[in-house]
Amino acid sequence: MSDFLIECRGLYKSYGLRPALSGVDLAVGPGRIVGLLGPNGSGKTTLIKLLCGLLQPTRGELTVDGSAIGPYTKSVISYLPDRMYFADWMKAVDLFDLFRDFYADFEYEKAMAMCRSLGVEPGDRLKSMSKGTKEKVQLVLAMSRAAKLYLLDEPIAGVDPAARDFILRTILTNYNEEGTVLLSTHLISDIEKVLDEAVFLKEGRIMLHATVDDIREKEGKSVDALFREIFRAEPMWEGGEL
Amino acid sequence: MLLKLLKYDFRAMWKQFSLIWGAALVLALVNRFTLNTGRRIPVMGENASSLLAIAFSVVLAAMFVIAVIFVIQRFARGLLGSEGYLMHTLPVRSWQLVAARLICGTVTWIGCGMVAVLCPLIMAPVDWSEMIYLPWLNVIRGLIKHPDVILVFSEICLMIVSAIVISISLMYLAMSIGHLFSHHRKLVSVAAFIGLYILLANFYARIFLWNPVEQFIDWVSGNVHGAMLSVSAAMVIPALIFLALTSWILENKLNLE
Repeated sequence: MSDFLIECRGLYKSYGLRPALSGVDLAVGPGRIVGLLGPNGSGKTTLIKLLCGLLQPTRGELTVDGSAIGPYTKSVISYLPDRMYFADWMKAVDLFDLFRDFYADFEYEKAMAMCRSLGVEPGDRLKSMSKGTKEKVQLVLAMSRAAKLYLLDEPIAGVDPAARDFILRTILTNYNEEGTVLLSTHLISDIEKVLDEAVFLKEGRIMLHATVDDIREKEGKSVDALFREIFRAEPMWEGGEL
Repeated sequence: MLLKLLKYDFRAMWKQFSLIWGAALVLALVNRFTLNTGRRIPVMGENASSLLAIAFSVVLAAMFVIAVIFVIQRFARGLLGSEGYLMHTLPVRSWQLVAARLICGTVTWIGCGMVAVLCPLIMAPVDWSEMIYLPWLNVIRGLIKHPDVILVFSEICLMIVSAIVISISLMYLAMSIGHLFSHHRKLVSVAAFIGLYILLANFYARIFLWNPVEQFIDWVSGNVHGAMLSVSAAMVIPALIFLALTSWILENKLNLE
């Protein structure tokens, strides 16, 4: 059995002729908080969806907890997608029932307690909830599991700074500390303080994978500063290109 | 896991159909007392009675349209659309997801069929209290003496279920083929459905002209049970192939971009 929770070797994924991931090699161990960092279109969501089994790799190998993607890996992964995934006729409690039925690590009482603390009424129909409340329900579902791997796709995108802190606090106070959190975002400064490792993705390739301490020590700058340096776009000159 | 999936599929089905099935049955009951058949005293005017009869027909027609849409939506949105983000991250095999949808869809269509059969019975000018005095014991005794009747009835039911299963599995495969494309998925799905339908019709036309199959049909046709079971098998076997292909596409080619 491998020591790594996530292992990708030569992972390649293309949409038609357009490559989204080009030969990604990545190994992440257990008990880490990892930032999957990159600008829009860099392949963050694609990598997360491949780990969840929502996409199939064009080629390459991918394992989670030593197993190829399948029912076992799905039972140990808690996924927070970047979109709403539930049917409108359901109530939050219906989803909690569903998660309790399918995931042995789902903690029903914790979900109800999180709802109370987040101001979500679990008996309300999802159709009648605001977008923000629905996002909270999805966050509750993802963080009420004692999963081995949390895949959180852009959990703080599109919300104000106060809400970002609130979401991050919810994640940090509720995740299983023996598990790994892989958190994709391009808002580095907000999450830098909680990260153990950072993975920089650019155009489907890993530009850098290091611990945050190493980055600070070797580069002498913060992860955010290094990110800005690597992904800095040149100003567009009149008639020229980026 | 399949049973757990079915629990949620049936819950979704009940949310959608409890109202329309209830409405159809209630309207049938109302029409029983308002239809001017000449044999009963009309309890309301001709126009109101006609309106109620039209309302009943509309509800019944809507029920079947909704049943078809329900089967398509539960698969397209539930497995290949946004809800697929939830369903495909559950620790289950793709065939279980497909099987749960198929079973629920089949039961839904059977439910609609039963409501459509029940409604005319409710509307019929029959005094139901008289039914109690029918010689039910003799009917049961007669059925026991002639179990063939029960067997034929079961075989007819099996044929109906097989016809529903092949229709739904054809739709599922067509939608899965559409999912293999990055653009115009709905259009490709419709084209795939038409293509598969033509392919299936051609397959039946050719296979039944094949000498060994002809001989087999001649052999089984001598027996009504053999004939009906063969017809069911002729529908179930391609349906299983369609379902296997659908499950394979979802397992190996899923692409929730």
